[in-house]
Amino acid sequence: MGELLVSINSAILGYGQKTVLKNVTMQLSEGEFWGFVGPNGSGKTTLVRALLGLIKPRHGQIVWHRQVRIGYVPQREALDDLLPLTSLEIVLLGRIRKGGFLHRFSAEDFDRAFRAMEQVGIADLAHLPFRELSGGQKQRVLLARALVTEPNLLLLDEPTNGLDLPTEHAIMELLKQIHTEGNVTIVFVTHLLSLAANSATHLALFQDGLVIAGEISELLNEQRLSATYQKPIAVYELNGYKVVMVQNKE
Amino acid sequence: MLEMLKHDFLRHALGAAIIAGASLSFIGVYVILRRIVFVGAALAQLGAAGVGLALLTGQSLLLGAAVAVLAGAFSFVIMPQQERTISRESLLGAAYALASAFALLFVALSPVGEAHISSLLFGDLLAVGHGDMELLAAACLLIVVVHLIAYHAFVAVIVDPTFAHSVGVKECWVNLLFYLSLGALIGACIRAIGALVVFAFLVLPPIAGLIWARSLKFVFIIAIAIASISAILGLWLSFAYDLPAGPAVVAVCGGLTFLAAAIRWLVNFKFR
Repeated sequence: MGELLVSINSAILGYGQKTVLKNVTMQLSEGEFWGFVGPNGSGKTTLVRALLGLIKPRHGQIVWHRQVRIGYVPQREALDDLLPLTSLEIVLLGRIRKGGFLHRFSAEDFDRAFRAMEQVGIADLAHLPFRELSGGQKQRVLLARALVTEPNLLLLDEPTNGLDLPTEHAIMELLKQIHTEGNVTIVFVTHLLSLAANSATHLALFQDGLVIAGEISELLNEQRLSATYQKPIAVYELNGYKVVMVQNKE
Repeated sequence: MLEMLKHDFLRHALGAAIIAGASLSFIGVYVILRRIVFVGAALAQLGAAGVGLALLTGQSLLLGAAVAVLAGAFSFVIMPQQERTISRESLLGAAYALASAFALLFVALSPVGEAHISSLLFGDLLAVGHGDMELLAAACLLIVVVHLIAYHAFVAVIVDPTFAHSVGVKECWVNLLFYLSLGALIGACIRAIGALVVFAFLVLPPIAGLIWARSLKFVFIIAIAIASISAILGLWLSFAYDLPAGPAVVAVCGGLTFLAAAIRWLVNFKFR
């Protein structure tokens, strides 16, 4: 296990009077690949927002053990198609310093932006308007924008949502490559347990306001999953690919 | 057209219209991209109400407009983000309706009332003096400089406030600066060009820019160009055909925007 990055201790998270997550306790360390898995509205994004410092725990605490540079990748629909920005201009936003005031992009900023775009395979799209790109290309641009921040923790909110199967596979392969080659800790949010089961080293399962977190070997078994989701869950392996599904009663 | 420039009052009117138009269309690009057009309309009407109240109480019209618009902009910033029972848009609608009504009531109650009712909507470009124009130019320049300094912060927050936060751009401060500068600009321009012309400059030239440009910088350039041409052509039409200045400027601005949209449609249709 790598060096400890962040501890979340008995945190209660929510918005206004509404509690979304109760008693969250988990630790993220260097080199881990986390899958935050749960249905829509189960609090996955709330925990990501807490890690970004956008919401404070109502109770408990989030303790950062070392200086962490966070790269954040939102769902690609988060960007308005009205924006007349090129892919390169979007990626360069990751190089903003000094709170965005009096900032001018240097030759080094451009160089790093091009390198990040090359790394995710979209260097040829640099001068195309972002709104004219396909879903997979947009996701790569957002990934490049997170990478130019030179992160050691990458937070991705549903990076494969709405993508076709080959593109989903390509994005997940790219994440695995960034994880291993760049020594970046990854947290990716998904509602697909099978997707997390085949990429992550750790899982956080979100259900009814609770988070069950641990190594994938501890959590990815039929008893734990059936107890968590209160339904009979089966885990199959097909050609080395894990498939998680609700078991048919018959 | 050169005949027009022989008159001092028309030179001042032209200078004021170009300065106000260029600055408002520049900031209007953000208004359209943030999808807060109704905020622009409500702030412009609040400015008109401020002018009306200043007329009634005998205070400076510029001060009246600036105080009303800045108070409105600040209220918008501190308005709760979470919509529970009433949306922010409905509150803006209420502010717009009330500000319009109070603007007319204040003017009607003031001793110099009747003569100023139309200037609330269309301003009084032909009454702009040299000192007024210099003051307007200084205010607009200051606000545009603030926007240039904070350009990347404004763009980052419009594109993705959550990502902006992750790279150290604080959305709340950027929004406060944006709305206060928008309020200050509207407050500075309202007396000269009126609520309707302010709103037209905030919306029409940026629409033309967004229709044509493929990059943000060109959106700004096209918007400023359309606003400046509208100011020049509108005032010339007003001078040559004895038309009211404000409506003539808005009509030209609308015509140019419509022309930009029609040409874009034809180009798209031809190359489809």
